[in-house]
Amino acid sequence: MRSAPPVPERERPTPVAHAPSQRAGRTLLITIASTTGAVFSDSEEVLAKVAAIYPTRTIGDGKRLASPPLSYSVTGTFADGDLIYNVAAPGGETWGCRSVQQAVAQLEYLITSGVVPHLARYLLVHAAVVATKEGAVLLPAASGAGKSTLVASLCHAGFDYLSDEVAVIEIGSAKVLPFPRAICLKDGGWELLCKRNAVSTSVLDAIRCDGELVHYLKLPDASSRGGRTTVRYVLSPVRCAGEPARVARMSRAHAVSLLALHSLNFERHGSGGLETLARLVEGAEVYRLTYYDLDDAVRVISELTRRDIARA
Amino acid sequence: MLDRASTRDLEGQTMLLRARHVVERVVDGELILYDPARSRIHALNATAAFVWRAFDGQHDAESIAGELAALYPDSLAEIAADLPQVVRSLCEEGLLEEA
Repeated sequence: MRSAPPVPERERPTPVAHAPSQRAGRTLLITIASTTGAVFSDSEEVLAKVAAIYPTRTIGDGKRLASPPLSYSVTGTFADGDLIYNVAAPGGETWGCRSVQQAVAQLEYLITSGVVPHLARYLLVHAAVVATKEGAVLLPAASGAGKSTLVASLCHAGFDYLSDEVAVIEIGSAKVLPFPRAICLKDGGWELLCKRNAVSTSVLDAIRCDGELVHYLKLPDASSRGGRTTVRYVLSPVRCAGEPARVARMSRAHAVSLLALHSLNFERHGSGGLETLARLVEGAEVYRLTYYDLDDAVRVISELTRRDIARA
Repeated sequence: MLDRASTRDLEGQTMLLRARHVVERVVDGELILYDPARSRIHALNATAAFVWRAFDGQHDAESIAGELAALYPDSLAEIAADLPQVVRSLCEEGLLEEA
């Protein structure tokens, strides 16, 4: 397997002291759950990449919203004869990037970390989410556990995409909302999927500011139309070398503990969060999924979630 | 807050009570306790749930041991061995407090 190349310091986005002044360009609006962000850029290439990663709408040439909750920009300046893409985030933080790919990857990183605090009224859980006609499948797992790779495989097999990183759960109803951002694969997951011919091209490859080489897949069309969805399955994925894919029932009480453990803001919601998670698991079947081979995992998940369809 | 010395055995123990700030929720017959003070969730097994619920301010650990023994007469040895540890764990986790 090809390992990620070492990342020279000069290739990473670097902080800059100030953002350049406004110039002609366009603004795209991105809506994630109930939060809207605005991305302004003077580069059509940047805007095209952003539109490939997020469901966007435009507000017209040269215009900016008066005061969107989250406002970002990507504008070009020359430094020592090189074109630098300056990525500015709310709060004045600015990063200098040497390519469109790096700038958009940095932007995505900033948008995701910027949006999460604005979704505080929802219960946020570190989880991937896919869906069938019958409802959502929640896959809670920590960062680096392989959620995005598994989700990409499931979407390739026909599941609808809701999120590869964060489950946005409505307090009270326990329904899940989409977090519509393109699936972001780390290099290991990308290699694995390429070998299985589950992916062929990415819309963006870049090295993020944390040094990680990432690959973004085109955002599935269905994800932009998603609304609130009832969770029908909770599958806690654990990848173990050499293990055949199988599911084992988990107690719903344990599932509540697990979801709370993976929550980004459970403490904020307290007993309301507990009640929401309890309702979520009471309406779902909960399992631990052990697997190693992705095809095997997809087969087991497909058989599990489509059994209800066959019985209906 | 209780110290460990006061829970070393069941005889002559300080009267304990379910911690009043703890939120309880039953899911599929299993008891979940949420402690907002420590921001922790506990999923209790059947025995721990019975013991926790039994600390209502009217019963001490000795009387609870007696109730368990009446329910499970074939498990007296396990009750004697395990109950003190269950009570200690519940205290250490902040789920029981002095009455």
